[in-house]
Amino acid sequence: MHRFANPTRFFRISNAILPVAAAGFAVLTVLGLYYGLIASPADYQQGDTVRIMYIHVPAAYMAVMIYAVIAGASASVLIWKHPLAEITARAAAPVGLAFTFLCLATGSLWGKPMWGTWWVWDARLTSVLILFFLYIGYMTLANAFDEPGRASKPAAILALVGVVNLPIIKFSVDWWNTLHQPAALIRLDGPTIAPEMLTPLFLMMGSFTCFFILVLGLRMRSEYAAARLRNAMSRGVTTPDGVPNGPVGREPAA
Amino acid sequence: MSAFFEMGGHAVYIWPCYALAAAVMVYLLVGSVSAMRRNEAMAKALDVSRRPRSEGGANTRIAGGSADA
Repeated sequence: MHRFANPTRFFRISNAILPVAAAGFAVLTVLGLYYGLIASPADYQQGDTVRIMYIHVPAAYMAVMIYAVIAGASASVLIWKHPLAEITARAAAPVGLAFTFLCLATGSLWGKPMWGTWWVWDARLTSVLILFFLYIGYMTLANAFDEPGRASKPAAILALVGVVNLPIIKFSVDWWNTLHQPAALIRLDGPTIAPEMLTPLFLMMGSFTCFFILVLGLRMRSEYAAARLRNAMSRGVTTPDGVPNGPVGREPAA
Repeated sequence: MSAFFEMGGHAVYIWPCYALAAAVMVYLLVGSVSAMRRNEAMAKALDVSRRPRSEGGANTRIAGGSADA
């Protein structure tokens, strides 16, 4: 077992990336808000509610992408047992959950004025709701055991099984009748959105991506420290003041 | 300026979207930073409290062996 093996390289890389991600997030957010709220026109059908798209679509994109990151990391947990894979998946999950919530909530706020309803049980909305519950299930399972390493395998398997939901989300608007509009961005014949609206959309997608990288880096450092603490705690060694104490690095028999 | 805030009569739907996004992202960022500081401080305390006990611990740690066997 080489879990929590030498983290020096990870810390060196994350220390280099985090300031770049923070700067990118700040710049892209300011530009995205300017183009999204001020310098772009209202839609000829939807009026100003189209501006909800600049939050809703990037949030949906992140919800799906972060799940793909968790699934990739989970595959790496099962196949290569890479030291940072489980830490990556655990660190990414709450961020994905937050963006899925944001996607559902902004979709609801967009649905009321445009469709006349906050919610409808159609394929797109339901499959994203399932994604929301998959995140909750993954996080619950990953934290279900006190013994370190015990949850790695079941959580990774759950994450991989949930991957079938991703193509269902993507193609739900083509496979079933739905109130949700069809794909307008990622399609073979190119986006069908006006360029003035594509600018803020891409800026906000970039902003959310930088935000994810930033928060992922912070949470990975946090998870790394937490994993060391859990390892020490599981050996039951604590100092009188409650601080876990004991040799770090010795793995309990897996 | 007030036309900007009215958002063509849809202010009640549009501004909550942006406010919610801001709230969720601030919560994530602040929560992540404070959790990282807390966990790293505790892990550091662990290192400090461990050091005087086993001088030779550092070597056995790299080798992956058992320090207290």
